[in-house]
Amino acid sequence: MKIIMSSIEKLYKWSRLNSLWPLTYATSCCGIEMMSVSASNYDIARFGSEVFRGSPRQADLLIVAGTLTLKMSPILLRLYEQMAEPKYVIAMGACACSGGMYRNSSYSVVKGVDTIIPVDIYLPMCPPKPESLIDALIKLRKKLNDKNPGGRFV
Amino acid sequence: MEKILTDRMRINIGPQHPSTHGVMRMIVDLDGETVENVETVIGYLHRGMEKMAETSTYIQYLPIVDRIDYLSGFFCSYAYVNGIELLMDIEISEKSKYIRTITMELNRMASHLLWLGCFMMDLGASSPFFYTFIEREKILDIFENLTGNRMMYNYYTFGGVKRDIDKENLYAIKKFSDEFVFALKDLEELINYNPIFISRTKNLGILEKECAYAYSITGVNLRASGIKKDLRKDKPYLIYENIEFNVPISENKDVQARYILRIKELKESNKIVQQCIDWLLTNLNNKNIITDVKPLTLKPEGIAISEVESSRGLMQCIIYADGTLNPYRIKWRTPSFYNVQIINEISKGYLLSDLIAIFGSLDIIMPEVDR
Amino acid sequence: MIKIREVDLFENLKRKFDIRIENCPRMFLDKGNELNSVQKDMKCIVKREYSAFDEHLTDDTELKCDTELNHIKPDIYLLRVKKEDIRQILRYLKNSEEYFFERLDCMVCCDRKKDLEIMYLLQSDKYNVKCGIRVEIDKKENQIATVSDIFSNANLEEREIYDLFGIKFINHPDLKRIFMPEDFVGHPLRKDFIIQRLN
Repeated sequence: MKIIMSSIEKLYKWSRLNSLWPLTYATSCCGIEMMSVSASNYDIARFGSEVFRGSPRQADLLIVAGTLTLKMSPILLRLYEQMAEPKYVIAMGACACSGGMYRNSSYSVVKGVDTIIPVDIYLPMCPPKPESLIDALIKLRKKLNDKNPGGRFV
Repeated sequence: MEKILTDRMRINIGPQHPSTHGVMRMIVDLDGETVENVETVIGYLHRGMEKMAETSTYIQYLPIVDRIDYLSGFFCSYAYVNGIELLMDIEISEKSKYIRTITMELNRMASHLLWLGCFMMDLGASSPFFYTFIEREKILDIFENLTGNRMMYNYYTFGGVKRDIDKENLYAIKKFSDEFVFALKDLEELINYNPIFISRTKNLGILEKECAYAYSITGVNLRASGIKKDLRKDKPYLIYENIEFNVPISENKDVQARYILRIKELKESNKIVQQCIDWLLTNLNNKNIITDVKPLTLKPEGIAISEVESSRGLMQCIIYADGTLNPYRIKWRTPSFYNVQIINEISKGYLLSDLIAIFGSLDIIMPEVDR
Repeated sequence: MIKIREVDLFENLKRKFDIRIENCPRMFLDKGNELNSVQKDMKCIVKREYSAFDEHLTDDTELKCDTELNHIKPDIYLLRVKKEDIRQILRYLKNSEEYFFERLDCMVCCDRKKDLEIMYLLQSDKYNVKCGIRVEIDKKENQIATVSDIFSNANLEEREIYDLFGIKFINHPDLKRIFMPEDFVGHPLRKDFIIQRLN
């Protein structure tokens, strides 16, 4: 019985992780690098993300690209709750990881996205090069392909 | 046939939407499918840039200035650095003026190329997006060789620029600008005479002259209404007096006129870049790019107003300095803050899909609006 | 570009309203025409925490933070008017044949410690001239009349000044917060809203 279940598990892990479709969420400068990744010079469609979906019900990867402010945080939480399981989150850029260069002296920037939603991969730099976003996607797939993927449900 | 009674409907084009160019919320009153009233809600990207200046020194604020308009980082940087140079009476050398001009014009080209790709994607055409991004990546490669980063350059400083521009970079820019003419011709043949494009953009979003003056609109949106006003010709700064270029205007006030003017501006910027390259190639031995000013302990005093013609309009930086290490107040006058206010005026009576086309043609970017 | 005649540009305005000219561009100064002297002696103590490399600053640094800043570059006109006359002056400057300032470039608000101050920057395309008009507002009764029916782009500017400084504009059509969320308490850009920078 275990043999059958483990090979079925391999099959659906392979099919899910090779076709992660992101949501079009871009607030700030990192959004432009996300658009460059989907253009033809650094192509993310070769790695499975064929299209960027507009509605959260149809997407399964949320790349938080940009600064999160006080006024925008209830909306991000609502978007995350509207997505269907299984769903994954990449925090892209210094502003999403920890508040970035606005952490010390700004009154309206939230100090990191992980105060509101759970995060799988942190990607530093301001802004990260498009090659590093592809590297983050590959690391996410390796993390979830493991025997125990850190308590996450694949 | 008897008239069907309809009710007005209020829908929300929320902050997260592929075509709002950032985070902006529009609350639209619809009667069937015609637009009656548009209310815009902004403030979703307010980071407090103006308060951050009061707790940093003048040199610590310099990397933050690039992020006010991330698609034209050189323009914002120039506005801030020029203000301090006016207050302290600093003269910059000829070569650094040419380097500043050539980087600013290449930045204007990159910004217009990105606008073109996103505007066509709003209308539904997805091929021009890929063509323009190929050209844009070539410009960003040049900037990465010169300054070290693709988008936030941190290259200008008080008294000049930080690094010299060498022979390989100049030959790369020359090669790019020679081939750009043919790439632009390909794009024009693809888009200009397409009947769907013409029927979606002609006679839409008419902006009258009195409305433009009342809301203090500048840049391409003003020139598409027939008024010839460009800061590079009225009060020339840097070396724009020695360079020949035209400023195109148009008498139709619609969306198609703004599109045609931006394509013409791309060609004019290309001409300016070629003239600057010729001067720089003949002055390679000149190593004088920075005048020595002690930037860590600057203490200027007074009020400074410095302006620059950026890719979206007129940008000003107003500095109140009181003789200490930190500025007292810095205010940014950004062009997109005023372009947002005319959406309601020029889109009454059109359909909902026309509203997206009109909004895309104004070239609004949200970090400029919210700072 | 039309050249302006070389006399005092705001001579007519001085006869009708009570204004004080603070800066006059050098090309228009007659001989023997002196500007008023300024007072620079208001000091105050602000507590900040600095990093180690600013070794000549300590915790309780006495900083000079209120000056009558009249030294402006580039050389443009600066006037100071009373806050009751502001609507009449702006309407007169916009519509009269002589001045014709068509555009309000922006409104700058600044918190000097004793009061608040707004500067209106006007631009005339016909004569290629810029001028700045300054108004003082008391901190206790912080109200001033709106100018959004004279210049339409003052609508969002005044909402921003209300949000960040707390000044109320009388007869504004829609005065509410614009950048901060609706239930935010306080006005961020005032000088008593202190952010301690820790690094």
